[in-house]
Amino acid sequence: MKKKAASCLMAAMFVLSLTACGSGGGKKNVDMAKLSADLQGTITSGSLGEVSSDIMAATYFLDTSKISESTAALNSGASACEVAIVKCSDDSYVKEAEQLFQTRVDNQAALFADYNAPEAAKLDDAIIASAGDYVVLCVSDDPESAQKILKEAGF
Amino acid sequence: MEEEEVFAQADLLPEETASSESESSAETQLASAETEPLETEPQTEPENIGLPEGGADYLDYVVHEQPTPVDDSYFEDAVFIGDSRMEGFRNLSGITKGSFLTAVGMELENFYTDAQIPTARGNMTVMDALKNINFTKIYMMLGTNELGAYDMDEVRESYRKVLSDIKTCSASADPVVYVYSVVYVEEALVTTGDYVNNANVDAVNLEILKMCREEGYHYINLNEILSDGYHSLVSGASSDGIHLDQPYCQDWLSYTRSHYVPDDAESA
Repeated sequence: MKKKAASCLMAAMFVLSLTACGSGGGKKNVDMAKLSADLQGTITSGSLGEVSSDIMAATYFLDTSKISESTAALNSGASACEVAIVKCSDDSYVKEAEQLFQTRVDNQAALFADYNAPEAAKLDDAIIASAGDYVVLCVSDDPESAQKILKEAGF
Repeated sequence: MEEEEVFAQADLLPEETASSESESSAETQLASAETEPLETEPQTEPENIGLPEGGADYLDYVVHEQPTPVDDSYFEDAVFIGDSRMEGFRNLSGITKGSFLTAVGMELENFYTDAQIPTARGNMTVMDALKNINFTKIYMMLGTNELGAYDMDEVRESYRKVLSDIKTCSASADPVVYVYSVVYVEEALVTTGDYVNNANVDAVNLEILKMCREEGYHYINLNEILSDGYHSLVSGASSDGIHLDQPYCQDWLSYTRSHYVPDDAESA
């Protein structure tokens, strides 16, 4: 069922203008918990909480069979901020994970545009970055600091 | 659209941990409410805590605590529909089963018109999303975005229609309908408008109670544990005065597990 969903997704997907900056190349190890905590440190509006991998998969429509590790911190509904990191089983899924994160950003932006303009603005600065098999989504109050953290982590 | 695209069927969290933590937190809140100095006339009847004035007339439709909490398998055939507060519950409570159709800004007025449920192919309306879900229980939370409504009777009628239409999508001819109370706010923290106040929360909740009595729905009085005892959200539960922080979402889940309608009561 998930494979079918993924196929449908690919067929229906717009050509997305990703903000991703793929570093690629070579096997890479990222301390996902530390990176998530560091990125969450750039978020000052509202509280975030770690969610289960299934909630995460349902939020981003990820194919869990193609994800070897994941972590996500979602918000209380008060803001658009969130942090999600996935390690793909292999690099063939990286592009699709990036696209799924972009779809999440687009969906959220459409909702927040009518509901809460300041939060919608944060989504304009959403960061989607990849390095090796890892893909990160970060919607932050301080995207510059988040970018810096990601750069230091090799993204 | 595939069912898995619109909701979570999570199975991974240790339920006992979340449950025990939230139960103790809920006890702490109640104890705190009992010992704080009186600022206004207290609600003296324990079963009325969190109910609006006049709410005592509707106690038969308020879901009571059961001696044995359900585990999350109870929610396997449940759909949770609601606004950003319900989304926070989904994200932060630790619930592991159930289908969630939640969106920031969801309200009765835009319920049918706005494509607001995220899918992998963009957003869709709640009613369209419901077509892909098998459910026999409905947990509903709207009303916060209606706090500025001029006509509360109209809110009740709109809510009634929405729930009636949701029921037609159920796999059951007679689904169990739980309607959550609108949770109080901490007014001093709210920046989204003066109308987001607890007098209006009470007004909306009274209309919801009326609807529950008229339709035979089950009112879940979350304010029993989230009220400070004086018609306000317990202090410290929310960073923006509206959306609940994680421990309080866990309390919400614990309360939902212990407040349900037993099967024998449903068939009575």
